[in-house]
Amino acid sequence: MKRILPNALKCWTVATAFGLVVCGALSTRAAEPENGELDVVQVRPNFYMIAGAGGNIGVQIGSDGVVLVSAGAAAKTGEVSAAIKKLTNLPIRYVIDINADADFVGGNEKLAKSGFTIFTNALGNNGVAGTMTNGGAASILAHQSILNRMSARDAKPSYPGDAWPTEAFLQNRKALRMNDEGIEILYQPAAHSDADSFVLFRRSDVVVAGDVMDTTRFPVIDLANGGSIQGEIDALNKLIDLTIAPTPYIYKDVGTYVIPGHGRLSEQMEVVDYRDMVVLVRDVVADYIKQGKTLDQIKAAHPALPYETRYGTQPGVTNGFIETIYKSLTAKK
Amino acid sequence: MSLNKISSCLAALLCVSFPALAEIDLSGSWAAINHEDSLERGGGPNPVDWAGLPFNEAGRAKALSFSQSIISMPERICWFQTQWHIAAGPFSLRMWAVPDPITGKVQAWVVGAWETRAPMTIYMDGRPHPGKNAPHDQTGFTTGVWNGNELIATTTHIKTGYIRRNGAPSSDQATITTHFLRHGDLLTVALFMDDPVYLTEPYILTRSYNLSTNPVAIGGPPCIVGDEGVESGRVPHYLPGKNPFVDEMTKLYGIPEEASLGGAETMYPEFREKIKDKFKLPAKCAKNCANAGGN
Repeated sequence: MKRILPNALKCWTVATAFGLVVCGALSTRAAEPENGELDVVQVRPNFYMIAGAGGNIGVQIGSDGVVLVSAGAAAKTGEVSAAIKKLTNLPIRYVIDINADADFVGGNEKLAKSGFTIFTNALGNNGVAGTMTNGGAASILAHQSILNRMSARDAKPSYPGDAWPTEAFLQNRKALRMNDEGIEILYQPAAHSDADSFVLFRRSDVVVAGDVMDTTRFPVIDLANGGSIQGEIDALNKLIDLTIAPTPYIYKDVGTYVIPGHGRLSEQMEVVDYRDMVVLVRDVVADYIKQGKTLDQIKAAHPALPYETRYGTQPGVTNGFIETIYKSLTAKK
Repeated sequence: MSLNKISSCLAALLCVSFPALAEIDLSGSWAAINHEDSLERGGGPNPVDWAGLPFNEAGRAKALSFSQSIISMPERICWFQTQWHIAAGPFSLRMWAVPDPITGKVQAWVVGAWETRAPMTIYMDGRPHPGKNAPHDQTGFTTGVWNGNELIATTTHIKTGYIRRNGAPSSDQATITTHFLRHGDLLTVALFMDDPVYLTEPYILTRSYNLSTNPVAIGGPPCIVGDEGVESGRVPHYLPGKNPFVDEMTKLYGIPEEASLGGAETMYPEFREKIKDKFKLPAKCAKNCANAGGN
């Protein structure tokens, strides 16, 4: 159907469009941060997501202070610190790392040092605080795999010791309770890399998922650092299990919120969409491998075509995803 | 530009700025008239019938990967349609205004929910749409403006969905523009789907309703996830070239695949001329034949 507008309607349409453009521009300015600025999204009454500082940051606030999940990129530390101060005057007590990439741990040192350790009290205890932390800074809590990556001699970028996790754990599950809320850190082996964790805030009903999920692009799977396509799928399935959809009253409320590594605040259905995408593209690549196609032939066949306009708009992302699937599936066991 | 033209444009802009003068009452129960696109609104369209959809390559590939079994996935059993279901679904509408308690000015119009579609709240108070990192919920986020006696609602922040129930996809980046036009006891609703992810042009559907004294329900029953035979974690889909229904429209009705696979070209009358020599009238109509015999 061609849109043929009568003259009168055209006049109205132009006028309306002009009005909407003027109003829309003002409205957009109110709703969106300026380019490059942080976007602070309220998730729950005591929970926020800070976007635009590298990887997304989760911020839980309560009487114990601030618990951060991820520290963002080093260059954005000042802005993140200022954004948190607008939310509360309470100090950062924990920085919980959920992967070892620079856009997630780059702010560790400065943000931790802008906070205050839990290893002290009204009577002092400075000796313990100094020993357990970086001179009384907030704790940096992470799975051992993150400490291993950040402290490696050939780590790129290299990190000073004060940026490393001060509390590292080896178990697949670490639990703590801050701000009257149970918090679980759940290690996901071999997903985006070998250093991924989810952090589940049980009362807030929020999961901070890191780069296992990225609503802006296909997942970037770091094979060199232990990532794998099957581990990525397993982690997404785990993330679906951790979340609850808003049934039975499907439109009355929202379900569990998921903060992805990059991109917008999500719910279970977005994780399901993302998991389905990864599985479908994996299955197509596997089928082409079974047919004897080479990597170049597979790339030329566009196995990710149904999702290229949604997740493949950044340069190199689609081919990178296909390549990691191919290598992951053809790697010798 | 002449003085007259400038005056005309200023007058038009002033009208846009003060739409309340032209508002009409949309409240009431509106009974759906379902003979238009009755297959789509009733039993559902045939598989791989995407003629008239302005797909891009990604949209067509996504649709071809669609297996109807995905709606039996435990994660999707209670999945809801987007507001596009006003156009594609069979149900009636109930609309009401939400006034400001002090001034009486309409703050929002609400289109009540259906069994598989959340309510649409159309904010009329000029509030901005949320930012790009805000969540997309079942209702989407809708604002409205009056254009004369036409209410134009713009919905963003929707979840992924379908523009046709046979797997034609819509993305979470889509914008739905809904025009409500009342002519006495008749309501016409025209919906425009702009989807930069899956469509090359807007897809447009209209439908009509009669004002009814029978109250239309404003919500559906709760949804309980049951076991429909697809185990958790399995993702039903068709691999490229393996969709068994790709020639369904050719077998049933003689319609060539290049038409049933959609694309912007298939929306326009000129396309009928282009494919007329490839169309073969089947000897007997086998399905959905109305009065032409068959089932």
